[in-house]
Parts: sequence; C-alpha cells; structure tokens
Amino acid sequence: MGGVCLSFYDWYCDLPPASPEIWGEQTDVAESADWYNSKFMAVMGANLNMTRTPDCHFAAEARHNGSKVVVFAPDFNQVAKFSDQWIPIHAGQDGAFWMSVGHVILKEFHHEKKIPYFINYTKKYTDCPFLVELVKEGDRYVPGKFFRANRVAKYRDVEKGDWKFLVVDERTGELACPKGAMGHRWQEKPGEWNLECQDSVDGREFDPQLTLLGKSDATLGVQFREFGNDTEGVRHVPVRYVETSEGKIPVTTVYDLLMGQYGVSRGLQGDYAKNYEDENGGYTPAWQEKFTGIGSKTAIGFARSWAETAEKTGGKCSVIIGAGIDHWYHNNLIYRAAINALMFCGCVGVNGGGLNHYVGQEKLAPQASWSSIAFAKDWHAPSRLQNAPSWHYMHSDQWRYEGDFTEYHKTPDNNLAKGHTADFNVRAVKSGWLPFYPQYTKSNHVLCDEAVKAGAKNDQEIAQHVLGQVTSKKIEHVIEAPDREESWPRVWYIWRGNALMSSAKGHEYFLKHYLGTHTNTIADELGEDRVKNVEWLKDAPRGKMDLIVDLNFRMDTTALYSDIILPAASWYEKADINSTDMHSYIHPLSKAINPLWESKSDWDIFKSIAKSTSELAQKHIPNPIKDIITLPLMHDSPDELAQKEVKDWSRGECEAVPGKTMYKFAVVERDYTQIYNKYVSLGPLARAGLGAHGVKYEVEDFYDELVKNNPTVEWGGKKYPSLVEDVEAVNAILLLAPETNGELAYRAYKNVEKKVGLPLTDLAEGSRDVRMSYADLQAQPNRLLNSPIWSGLMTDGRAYSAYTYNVEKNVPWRTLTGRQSFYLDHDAYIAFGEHLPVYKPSPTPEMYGDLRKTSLDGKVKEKRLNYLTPHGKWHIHSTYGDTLRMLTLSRGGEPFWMSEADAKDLDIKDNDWVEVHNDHGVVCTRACVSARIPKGVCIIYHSPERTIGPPKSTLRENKRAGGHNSLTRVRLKPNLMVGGYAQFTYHFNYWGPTGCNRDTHVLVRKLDKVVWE
Amino acid sequence: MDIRSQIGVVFHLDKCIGCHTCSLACKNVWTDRKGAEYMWWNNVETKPGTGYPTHWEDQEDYKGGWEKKGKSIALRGAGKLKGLKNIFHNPNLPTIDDYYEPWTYRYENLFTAAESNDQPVARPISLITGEPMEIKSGPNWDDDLSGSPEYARNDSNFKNISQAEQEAMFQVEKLAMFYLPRICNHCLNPACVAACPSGAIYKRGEDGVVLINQNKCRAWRMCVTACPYKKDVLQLVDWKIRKMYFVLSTY
Repeated sequence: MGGVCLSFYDWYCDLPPASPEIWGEQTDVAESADWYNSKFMAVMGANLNMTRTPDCHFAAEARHNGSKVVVFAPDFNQVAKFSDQWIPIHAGQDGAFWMSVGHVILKEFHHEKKIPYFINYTKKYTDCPFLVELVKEGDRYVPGKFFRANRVAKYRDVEKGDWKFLVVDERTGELACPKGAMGHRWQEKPGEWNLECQDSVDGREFDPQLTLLGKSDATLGVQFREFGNDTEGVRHVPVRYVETSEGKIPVTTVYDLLMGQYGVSRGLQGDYAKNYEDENGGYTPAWQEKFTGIGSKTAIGFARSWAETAEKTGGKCSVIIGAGIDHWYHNNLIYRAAINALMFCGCVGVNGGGLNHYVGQEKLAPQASWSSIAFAKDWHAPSRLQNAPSWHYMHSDQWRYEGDFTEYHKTPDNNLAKGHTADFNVRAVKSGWLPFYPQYTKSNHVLCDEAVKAGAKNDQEIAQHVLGQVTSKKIEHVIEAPDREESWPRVWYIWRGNALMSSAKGHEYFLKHYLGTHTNTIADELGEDRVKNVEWLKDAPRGKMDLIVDLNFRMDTTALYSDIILPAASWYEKADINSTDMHSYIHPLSKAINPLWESKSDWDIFKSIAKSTSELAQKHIPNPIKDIITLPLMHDSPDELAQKEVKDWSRGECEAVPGKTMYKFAVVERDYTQIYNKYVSLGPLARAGLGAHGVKYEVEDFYDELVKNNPTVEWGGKKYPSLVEDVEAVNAILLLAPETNGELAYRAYKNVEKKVGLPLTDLAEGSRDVRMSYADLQAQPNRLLNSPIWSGLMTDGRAYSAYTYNVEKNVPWRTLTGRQSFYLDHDAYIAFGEHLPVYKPSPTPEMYGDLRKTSLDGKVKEKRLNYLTPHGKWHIHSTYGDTLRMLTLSRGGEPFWMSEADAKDLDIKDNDWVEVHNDHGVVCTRACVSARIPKGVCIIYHSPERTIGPPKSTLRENKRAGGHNSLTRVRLKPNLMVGGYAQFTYHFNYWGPTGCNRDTHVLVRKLDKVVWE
Repeated sequence: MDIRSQIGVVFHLDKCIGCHTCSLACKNVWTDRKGAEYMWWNNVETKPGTGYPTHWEDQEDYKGGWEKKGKSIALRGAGKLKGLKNIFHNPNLPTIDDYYEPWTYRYENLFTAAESNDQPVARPISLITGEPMEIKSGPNWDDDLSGSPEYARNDSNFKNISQAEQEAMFQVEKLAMFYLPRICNHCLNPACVAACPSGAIYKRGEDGVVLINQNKCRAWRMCVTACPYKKDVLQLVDWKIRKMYFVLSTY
C-alpha cells in the first residue's frame, strides 16, 4: 500500500547501538547453552533468574562446574543473590567501572606483560594497529580521522582508496594496506575482503604493529577529554610522520591513542595517571570510585581475575547484559566500555566468550525469506521502513518539551554537537541518515502526477522533478513541519504490540497529541526559541490520529484506547514459526484448537483487510498510480561509502546529490485493486534471489519447486506459489531460507567466498541436503543450520557464539576497517567526543527536565528518587503477567519498590498507597518496601497496565493515574542519528537513536485518600 | 503401616530461581475450582520471610508436628485426647487471613463502563464476598524480600537474633535470600495421620504416599493443626481437607 512500518527494536531500546558501532551488526550473541562454556560471566543490567527462566540453569551449571559469576546491580536482585560476587554499583555507572577495568588490563596485561594471546588477537581482529591522523589545534594535537590509504604515493590510485587504511608492518617498518576494509567490500575487484595479513596491493605478508612506542619519529602532546570530572589533559603519544602530497602528517595507532585515553603512561610525558590511586590523568580504579561507589581494590581485583581467566582459557570471559544498561541515555558508552574489556582480552568470537546482550526478540533467523514476504519485497521494492524513535519523538510532539540537548548531554564545544535534537533529526533526514515518513507536506501521488504533467517521462525524471521541488523549497519535508495538519499520521494499525502503554515512552504525550484525550502531563513547552529548522505552531495539535486499529487477544491498555479491536488468535490457534537468540532452534506454533469466537489468525486478519481494500479500490482507485519513496542510505550496500565527511546540502555546503549527499528516491507503481492478489501469492521478485546482511543467494529452482509441488494461485494469466494459508507462508519461508534449507546455505557461502577470497562452503557441506518444512518442525523443533547471514558456527552440535565465523574463517566484520572497532572516526563522533571510548555522566535531574514544574513543596513529605523500570518477574517474555494467576502470585498489581530507609523518611509502610509523579504524569500504586532496594532509587517493573486497578490522582484533579510510562519522556541521542558512513548507515531496527528512559527522576509521596470513581 | 518404599522429591535450592512455574503447574491442574482458590499445594517462598500461610513455621503458635515426651513423642497440638477436647473448637488453625483472601477483578467494567471523561478500570473483587476489596496479602506476598520490614525481619527463625544482629543482616550490601519450594513431604511419621479423628488419612504401603480418604474425611481439621508445614488445606465448598497426592488420584 505504501504505508509506513515502524521499527520496534530501537524504539523499545532493545537495540544496543554499540553493536553497530563496534561490529556493524544489529546484535549477534551466544545462545544460552554457550554460557556453560564461559569461565567468567559478568552480568550487568540483566536478571537471568527473573527474566530468563528457561535458560538460567546453564548459568547455574556453569557455576557448579567452576565458572565465576560476578553481578553488577544497584539492588540486591535475584541474580545478585545467585552470584559469586555482587558488586552493588550505583545505578547506571557501570561504564565508569569498566573504563577502569580497561585501564588495569592495558597497563598490566598489555603494556607490562604483553600477554601473547591478547596482543595477537588485538592485532588481527581489532582496529588497534590502524593509523590515525593527528590534527594540530593550537599548541596541541587532537585525534582525527583514520589515515586513508590513498594519501600516500604507493596507494594513491587504489580503487576506493578513501575507504582503505594503513598499518605499519612490524617486521619492515613499511606501511601496509590490509585487506578487508569497507573499500575492499564494495570495490569492483572481488576476493580482497578478508582478514588475512596481506597487503592488498602487492600481497606481501605483514605483521601489524600495535604501538609505535620505541619505533616512533617523535612523541606529540595529544589532548584527551574526560567528561566525568570535566577535565582535559595533554598526554604524549608516539607518532610517525608520513609523507603525503600535503606534506608530512603525524599519525599514531589506535592502540597508542587508547593508551593515552585510558591514561596508561608507559613512561611517556604528560598528564598521565601516576598510579591506580591517582584520580586524575585517566580512567584509573581510584577515578571510578566516586561515580560507582565501588572501591578501587574491587575494580583492580576484578580486572586481574578477568584478564587472568581470559589468558588461561583463550578468551572464555563473557558479559551478559540487558535492559538495565541498555536503557540509559549513554548506553552506547557503557556497552563500549565493557566490550573493550572483552576485546582487549580476546574474548569475542570464541565459545564461552563475548558480549551476550539479551533484550528483545530481535533474532529472526530466516530473515531473508521472511522479510521478502513481510515487507512485500516479492512484489515491490522498496518499502517505507521507519525508525520509530524519530517518528514518535516528532509526531507525538515530545520534541516540543525540551530545550537544547547540551543541557543534559556533555559535548565538546563545536557547531555540530549542539542545538536541539529535533534540528539534528531534520539534518539526519535531509542527509539520508535516517528515514522520515510521511515524507513531504504534499501527497506523494500528487507529486508524481505533477512531475508527469511537467513532462517527466520516466521514473528517473519524476525523481528529478521532485528533487527540484525540494531544493527550490517548493515542498517541505514533514519533519520540518510535523504539526501542520497535512503532516499528521492519521491511521495506526497496532499489531499485537502494546504501543500505547508498555512501549509508549512518553505515554501521556501519546494520549495528548496522538489521541487528544485526557492526559496528566503538566510539562511546559521549551522548544520554541531553541529549535531552528522545525516549524513552531503556537498551539500544538491534539489528537492527530483519526483511527487506531488494534490486533489483540487481550484487553490491554492499547486495546482499551483503540477505536477498533480485531480479535486475534492466540499461540495455539494458528500456524506460525518462531526463533530467538537464546537458543538455536526454530519452533512451530501449531493450531491445537480453532480460533475462538470471532478471532482470526493475524495472517487471516491482514488477508481480509487486503481483500476489502482491493474491493474498495475498484471504485476509488481503479487505476495504477505512481508513488515516490524517499529512502535513507543503506547499510550493507555501497551507500556505506557515500559520505566521507559531514556536509549539509541544505546549507549550501555541498550539492544535493540523491544517494550521495542526501537520501535516495524510488518510484513504485501501486495498483490498489491487486493488493489482495499480491498478498496471497509469492511474487516474482522473490524468485530473482534473496539476501540479508549483504549476503545474496539464488532461489529460482526452489521457487519453481513451490509452484510445482505446493498449492498455487493463478491470476493475470500467471501462476504463483500460494500464500493463502498461514502454513503456506511458513513453508515458503522455510524453503527459501539458508538457515532451514542446506542447499541455500551452501549457495550463500559460495557467493560470500567470491567476495572474501577464502574457502567457506565447508561450513555447509555436511548439511547441504537438509530441508525443514512446517510439518518437520511440528514433529520436532529443529536446530538451525550454519548460514553466512549469521556469525556463529554450529557445526556438529557446537553451541552458537557470535563472531566465531569472523575469527575462524577470517571474514571481516561489516565495519569501516573490517575489524572490531575501538575507534569511531565519524565526524559527528569526533564532534561529540565519542570517537574514543569514554565515560559520560548521567544527565542530572535538574537539567533533564522531568521535574521543572514538579518540585518539593515542603508541605507534604516527599522525596526525589531515580526511577527505574527493569524487566520484572513474569512480565517480559510472557504475555501473561497480568492474568489473574500471575497477579495473585505478585501483589495484585504492579507495586512501587522502594528502600526501607526512603519509606521510613516518608512514613510509608509496606502496601500503603503512594503517588509517584513528575512533569510527565502520575502513577498511583502500592508501596513495596524492601531491604533489597538501595536508598535513592525506586522501581516499577516493566510493565503494568492501566486496566488493572489504578485509582485517581489527587495531584491531577482526580483524573485516572497512569502506568509506568506516564513518568517517562523520550530523549534521543543525536550522534546515533548519523549515516552514510560505513557501519554508521541506516537499516531498519539496526541503527538510529534508541528510546531510552532510564535517567528519569520522580517525586514520591504517600496517598492517603484513594479515589476510584 | 508397612512402608516398603518412600517416594521423595528433591529441590535443588541453588538452582531454584523462584520462578514459581512448579506452583503454577500444580495450581492449574489441581486447585483450580471454587473453594480452592486460596489453596497452593506447591508454593515457593523467599527466605527470610514468613511464607504461606504466614508464620507456618511457628509451632509456638500453630502447635504443629511432634514434641518429645519422655522417651516417646506426642503430637504438639492435636492427638487423641487433646484432639477430642478441641474437636468443636480448635484454636490452633490458620485463618483465611493467614492464607490470604483470594480475589479476582471486575474485568467486565472495561467493556461495559458508561461513557465518561476518564478511563474505566477493573477493580479487585473478593472471591469470598464478591465485594470490592483491598488486597492485603497473597500466596507469595513476601516474594524476593517484598515488604521486608513486616515479613523478612519477622521470620520465625530470627526470634533468637538480637536487634543489632538483625540490623546488620538487613543492610542492603549484607543481605541474603533464597527460595524454598514447599510441598507435602509425605513424612515418614506423618503427624496428620496421627491427628485425624476420623482415621481418614493413611500412608500407603507400596510407596509411602500420604493420602486422605475423601469419603471418610469429616473436615475436623486436626491435620491442619498437626501438619508442621501447613500442607493440609480445607476445601471451602466441598468442606473436605485436600493435600498434594503426588499426581495420583485421591483414593
């Protein structure tokens, strides 16, 4: 239809942006069975015992087998109870701890002991040996961009030389240009995208030199910034001068910059930490103490135990991490700090090692064939895939309620890293970094008609015409005027998500601006004088949505607030398949009984909507029409080489070139009368080949097999594989996916072999004849096959661990250098001070703006607490948290957990009613007073429903109090919006700012008078 | 009784994660009927805590189990003569509030509420009275140290601990907790069998399972007092004692 599909993984804040930053991968982690192989598990922000019920036993058994489990948590939670060591860290400060762990590891195990396993690993599998240019600023230097290969004479004319990089060969001291960089990935010549230590021009073997120390031309004072104490220091790093056409340029290695950043002096001059007890000059164990509340000895002991275990076991240390970390504003930095400790010790890409992030249900194993059907790519490429965080931030008008992001986000002083988040998002959309729909303040169909009337003869000319309209400012982007009536989103289908409650960050703003109903927000709008590139209407619109349709089998909050509820079949009333990252099997959901009453399977519901739409179209839109789609620059495509620098065409800094300096256009013909026919048939574009993650494979024979052996539909004189029934769709997905059809896995590896230039098909040889149908899965869930779309190897029953494929088969990561990234040289990352691993303090409550109008009035006993919403018992990974049985086993509703000390101060007794509020809204529930909660924080587990018994709020004129998201408002981190540059390039659910909400503060008071109606 | 074998269940307390899946499986199959709403044959408690029914361990209060009497043993709270004397008034029984008042929600209000300018909700309703109620306790009320000032700190096992020792134990960084799954233990020498005035309870010879003959049970509830684990529970509609049977039929 050309509608907009909203992402979920980034909006739920399940996406860890550090994963694309470091690995160019949305998320890839070990299955829980691999925990058993880990000898040291650090668990942070994840509560295995509570939210990983079926998997937790692997951790228990590993412990019984001698593995060490260390848990970081502010409260004494279930997994803390389970651990060998609990580190009661201040909420959200885990990054500071891990930075100091990095300091100890670099000092003792890299610089002093030079553990061979660590040194060899960081040389080969990380960007540590790569050269970075140092740029002079005043009397000091700052780290700049990776030194590009084509700046030296020898590599001047290599293909895509801007996207190839240099290292020093330790044996000869000569420069070498390693294979496997982004330039090798997208160059014409195949076979050079690999991790072999061979020069990509002359094939010479080289040994990458990690540090220039002792082999340098000079040392230079480089400025490093530390945001926690807000200090700067100049520390010397060894450099080498490289001859270029612009003269001699000082360069150093990423490894040397890391030593400088972490403050490991190695005998060099400058503001380096003197020892572990020095709080200045780097991320020392003493430095972290004031942020984390954890003694420096604990940090040192942890780091030594970590590194020694990794040394003795070949990297079998792992981090299990979850929403308790992922939901902080600076989550990417906390993740990077921990991932760096893994990479320093060679723990990524080995069984028992790695970053195991379990938040959300993001691993759709048969992704390629599924997405072909799900996004109608079998009929029309492309579709409108929107990153939901930007969409909700703008359309639900939450952008209006904040000032400049620099009020709560510390950045160095420069033009790029300041201003209003909405302005940054406008820039991101215009530059092709992120999508935004609706696109223009004028209908896409009208634009196409106008183009044709103006003489456009083909799709390209239509796009050219629209480009002219944009650059001459005759039409505007919706993101520049989201509140104008023609920009509003009008119809919202909510498919089984709880989009108006559990995932509505800023729920009260949804009520206000989307629904136009009662709301409890009292926040002032602060954006007017701050925002420059978004039109400010004096009165923000209320009730933008005309119609909300919910597919659901529960009367949850979303259903309660929807216009139409379409009763959906439950798990045991339909055919479907299911996969996860927690294990490596693919499961069927089988129909045990028929859908009850009027309910239908999701497949049948959408099918009937398609049917009615087609019938209505006969009358209303009988003829095919043109639709122009704007698309961001895409990950896993040559778009990754689009923007070497950040330049804004709309400010005249460069020309507007679609696909290069700005977004792309695609023109699609839509025949609304054929939507049903297309829905029930697998389209011809699927036959032309499928792919995902940059991997492609041919499926013509299997498509034809479907036509020959399976049910078909015939229309327009052609025969197609039938998708009329859900089982048929499932079987099409299974037959056309490399994870469930061994022949396709073989073909996919064969294709990657060409690009990589190394043998890979051995990974599929043994399972080439395996096929899985829905009936096979019903008989028994099957283990997935090795597939180049995923990075773990599972041959002969081996437990899945991410990136073992990269490490063992020398296939690059999908990053700028092709290696795991310590250094992120995107212009915006440099501008935001996040090019090197860094600690940034949590936004202060004063500046974050949750409590501008809500303040302690002194009349009522009240306290300010940091409001946490971690995943709760039976809430997450279960639809049934609010069934009567589970509510009986909890406290009949979602309580407000608080410490004994805070409760005592407020005269609150266990099970008393409390009123929890801030500028965004209010929650009325019962207190759950517990000794396991530390003073200063409070918890409402994610996620209560508004349907189950909240009374009215005395603070809001007796309006019904809300749910946990009544107290949140989303803030987007701007540097996560960049694009068109290597791994920093958009893909649906892969990249973009996330819907974080963990930095929220609330006031709590006792509620004496409970009003229900 | 000629007990030729004894079936037992072992819970690995280090592996138990307090997920209550076992409780739910049991509840859904065996105690899903009217009159059994408050009944959990299998429950999982957080220790320290007071559990379900609250303070079940406190035999000073409930007089459950055996006590030494010279060289022999006798039931602490029931027994032949003691039981007979108290047969119409047994003071050592948990009340419904010691278990909890079971509830449901007025769900239909979400569908049928009259139009108004505010949102309808489903309020809790007592399954005993049918009236709106305040939820004050539940079968798992002190889960994960919920309400520690009232529950964990009042664990019966802490009676002999000084105030200062208790304060130290309840500092957040010094805390400890674990889960205790509880079912009928099918005791080798079951106090319930000895206490039953009707002779309805017996320990089966071939496997040691303790069973209640429902035809003989007159619901005197002496077994409720006698059981030191409080795993004999009264069916409020059928007016018979029910307990966990190891997934066997009743007789």
